[in-house]
Amino acid sequence: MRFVRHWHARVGVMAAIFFLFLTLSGLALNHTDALGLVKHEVNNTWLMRWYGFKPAVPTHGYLFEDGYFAASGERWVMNGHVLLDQGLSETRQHLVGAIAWGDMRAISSEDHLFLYLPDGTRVDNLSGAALPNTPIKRLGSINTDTVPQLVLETAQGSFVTEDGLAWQILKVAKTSATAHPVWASEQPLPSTLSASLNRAFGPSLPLERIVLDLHSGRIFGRYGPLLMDIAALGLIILSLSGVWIYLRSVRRKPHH
Amino acid sequence: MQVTAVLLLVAMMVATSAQAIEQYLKPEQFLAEVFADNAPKQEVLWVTKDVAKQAEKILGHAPNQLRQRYWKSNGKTAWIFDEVGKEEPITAGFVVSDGKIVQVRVLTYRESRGGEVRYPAFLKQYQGAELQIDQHLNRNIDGISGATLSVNAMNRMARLALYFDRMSRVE
Repeated sequence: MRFVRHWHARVGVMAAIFFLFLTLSGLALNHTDALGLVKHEVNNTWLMRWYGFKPAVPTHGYLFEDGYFAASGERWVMNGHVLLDQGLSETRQHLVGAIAWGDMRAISSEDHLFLYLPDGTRVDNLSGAALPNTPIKRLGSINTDTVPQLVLETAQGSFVTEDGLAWQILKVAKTSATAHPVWASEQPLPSTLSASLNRAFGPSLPLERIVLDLHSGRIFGRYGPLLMDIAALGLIILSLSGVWIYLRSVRRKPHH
Repeated sequence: MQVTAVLLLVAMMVATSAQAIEQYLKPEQFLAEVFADNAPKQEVLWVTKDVAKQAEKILGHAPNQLRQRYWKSNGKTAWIFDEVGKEEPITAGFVVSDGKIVQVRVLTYRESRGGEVRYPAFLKQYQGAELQIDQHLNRNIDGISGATLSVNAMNRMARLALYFDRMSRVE
């Protein structure tokens, strides 16, 4: 009896730490939606290094007078803001370019045209019948003193718009030099932007993944789950020895 | 209601293969269906600060963009929205007439579970739904077990369509 009590207490103290850990992370996982664990991105440098993630910072991008646009994989960044577009990952493939168009910034992939304000607010997302033709090959703008125009070059010719709603075939007047579109072109990003780029393109993980890995023990590496197995075994021993101690004490009581 | 439930159950059993990105209807096809191949020119509703505030109340987050395009003909307006159910957005089309929803279609579904919201048995519940003063629908939409978040997203979009339709007539 003494032996069991002694070890019950020892295993109990050790297991309590794991038990708290497991129950708290389990509780959090049970309510991931309410807690918004999926939406919360963690980008702690130390943690990301622990996971072995390195920042994928692009070296080239598109420069505007007052900012930049750069992309790496599916992450689009304008002036340090990650452009959230409701996770429509299929729209982000095959980036064509980005260009300033009046006070808006136009970014296009082969089948989509996004319009943003410089602060990262999305104005519109055009695709399908809202575009004159696809795939888009080049993106340009004509910023004359009158109304700035946006130009899309496709296999069926170039199209021009003043509002992103009505499109016309681009007719370039040979006499006027100003009417020629300036095409979006990728340029090396200056080193002055590296701090902003490192911040925006640093690796991150949803909090849900981290809590999940804590819960399973995977965050502690290869033997993490084994550690959690041992903790679970400890809990089994505790339950059994606890029941045993209880039964013994109940049976003994009448004798004392 | 029981018939709906049985239909949904059958539909779920038929839809055995879980899909990732599934486009059921292109926006152009949806518009052709709504306006009988005579799609009107697109119009624009600017989501001003006041409109955005109400839209945020309905959606639980700021509206996706500042400019909402829509189509209007014979007093009927058609709207296409993207709204996240659990993790991926659902693209759905809504037709409003006389302040009532007359048609709903799911255009693209991107999550692995919950795609049952695309079935007519579920969508027909929206027909005739109106917006109350508190910006909620004037009726209950029966949920689908396992697709709660997708159903919630559909409800939010239905409310937004009714609200935007009202705003488009104010201007």
